[in-house]
Amino acid sequence: MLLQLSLTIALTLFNPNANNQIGKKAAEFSLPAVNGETVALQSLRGKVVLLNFWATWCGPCRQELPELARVQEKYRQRGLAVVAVTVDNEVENVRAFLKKYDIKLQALWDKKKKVADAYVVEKMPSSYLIDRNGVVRFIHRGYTPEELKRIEAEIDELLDKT
Amino acid sequence: MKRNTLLLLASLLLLALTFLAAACATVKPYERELLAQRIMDFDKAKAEEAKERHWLETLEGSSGGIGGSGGGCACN
Repeated sequence: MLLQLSLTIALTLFNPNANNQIGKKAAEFSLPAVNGETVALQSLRGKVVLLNFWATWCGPCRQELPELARVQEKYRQRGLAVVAVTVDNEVENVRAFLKKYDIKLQALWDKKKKVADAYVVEKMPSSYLIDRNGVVRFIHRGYTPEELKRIEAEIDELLDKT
Repeated sequence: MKRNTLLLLASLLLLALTFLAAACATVKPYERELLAQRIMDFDKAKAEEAKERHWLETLEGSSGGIGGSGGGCACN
């Protein structure tokens, strides 16, 4: 009983929480793109970044991704960069999915899931909105059309800030 | 307390710890690729089972007996 209690307290105290990242610098990373080149978050400084964690085996992610491609096109000129980080084990599945649905997004492959670990992804899909200075401003977990509307409103707000 | 009793208590504690350790195992949301496969689903043929249930309910007039709603007219 005592052991269980202490375990519960320890897990509560030391369990990392994604919300702790809001207002802090986004964790830097460098990942290979699905098409081969390597992309670093640092290289996107000055843009508003929508960092999305997804996978081909995740139903809501599959629904959301084409919407994110639309959002990317809508806000590209104003300085939005959508970065879709996949946590799939096989990159071939990702390539096939993107090709089949003709999704044109910056897709990076987090094979070892180190970046997902660093961002404490609590749900699939998860989106992190990072401002032009590289600070995490909003976190969204899961996908619904309503959630996406909120994300768009927040993108608007962040793009307006210089 | 006898040595044997102490040994027994220690063994029981160890056993309990083993169970607790197993209970702590978690799979992160982004590590569920294998668990998300269809073969891991308990109801591997959901559509098939729904049809079978509908057929059974129609035949027996027992709609609702398995937990759904309706009156056995097989119209929903």
